[in-house]
Amino acid sequence: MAQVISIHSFRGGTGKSNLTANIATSVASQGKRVAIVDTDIQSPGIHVLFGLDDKDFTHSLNDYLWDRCSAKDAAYDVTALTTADGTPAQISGSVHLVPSSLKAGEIAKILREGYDVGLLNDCFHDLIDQLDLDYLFIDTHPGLNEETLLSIAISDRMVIILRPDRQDFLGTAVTLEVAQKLDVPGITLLVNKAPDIYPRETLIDKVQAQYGVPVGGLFYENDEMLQLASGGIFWLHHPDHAFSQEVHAVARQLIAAE
Amino acid sequence: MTSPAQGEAPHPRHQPVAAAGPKTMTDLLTLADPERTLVNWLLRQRGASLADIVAHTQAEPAALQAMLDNLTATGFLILHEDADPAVFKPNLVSRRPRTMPEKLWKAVE
Repeated sequence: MAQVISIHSFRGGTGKSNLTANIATSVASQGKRVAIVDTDIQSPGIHVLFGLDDKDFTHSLNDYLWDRCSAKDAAYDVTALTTADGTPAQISGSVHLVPSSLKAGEIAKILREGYDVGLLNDCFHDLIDQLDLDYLFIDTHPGLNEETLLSIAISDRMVIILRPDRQDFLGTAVTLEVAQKLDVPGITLLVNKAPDIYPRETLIDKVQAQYGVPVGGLFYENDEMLQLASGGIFWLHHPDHAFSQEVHAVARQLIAAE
Repeated sequence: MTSPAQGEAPHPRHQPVAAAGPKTMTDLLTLADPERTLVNWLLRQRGASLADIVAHTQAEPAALQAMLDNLTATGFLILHEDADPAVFKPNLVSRRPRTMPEKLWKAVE
C-alpha cells in the first residue's frame, strides 16, 4: 500500500521544496519507488533541484487538470541524478516528478478559471497505480488554501517544516489545528534553517513541548546549501555533511513508520 | 480520455455536481465533528457504499442515514447511483476562480 506524504509549511522560504527533494531521493536510494507532485501551481520550482528545465517537459500537472494528458504522461523519471563530480548517483529505487507549468499564461489561466481540486486526488491515485509507487510526496504551496487542505486531508503522513522563528511557530500551530480537524494519521515536524547557536536537544525539546508533536529532524543553516543554490540534491553533493545525515535519518523514520 | 484539438482551448475536467454543491475544503472545516470525520474518511476512500460506511462507523443505521441525507442535501456528498451498489462520494472539490479585473488577466495570458 503506497504512502502519501504531504510536505507543508505555513510560510514561504522554509526550504520546503529542498527538503522534499532531498528526503524523497533518500527514500528512493533505499530501494523505494517514489514520485513527487509539485502542487505549488502558483509558484512552482522543485523541478530545478532535479535539473529539469521547463523546455524538458512537454506536459505538466496543469495539463492533467485540463484533460490534456494522463497522470503518467506528466510524470518524468528524474532518477538519473549526479553527484558533485558529475558521476551517476547510486539510487536503487526510482524518482518521478510531476512538475507544474512555468508558463506565465498557464499559471494565470488556472488561477483565473479555477479547477476541480478533487482531480488532484485522482491524479495522486493514478500515479500510485500507474507507476507502482511506494511513496508519493506532495510538495504544497505555503499557507492554507484549497489545494493544501486537500493534500493534508488525503495524506497518510504530514510533514510540517518550520524555522525557529516566532511567525513560523504561530503559523505551525494553525496548521496543526487544521491537520487534526482533517484526521491526518501521522504528523512530523522538521525544524530547518536553525542557527547554530541553538543546541540541538534544547531546540527539539522546546518545539516538541510547544506542539505535542514529534520533531523528526533538525537542520542547521549551512554555507554549503547556500553555495549549491538549488543546483542539485544536497546529500548527493555533500554525502558526509550533517545535513545529509539528518535527511537520511528522516527518510528512515518515514519508511519505518509505514 | 480525450484531448482538445490543436489550437482549441483546453477544457477542465468535470465531475457530477449536486444541486446544493459543490462545497470547498474550507467548508469542510466548518462541519461538526461527526460529519467532518465521515467526510474526511470518504475523501480518503474516494467514496463508499452505505454498507461500507455502516461497517466502518458502526453507527446506528437510522442515525447514519439521517447524517448522509443531510450531507447530501447540503452538498457535501453526492450519491453516484450509476454504481452498483450506489456510492457516496465527497462533493467538496471546487476551487473558486480568482476575481481580478479582466484587463489584468489579459495582460498575463
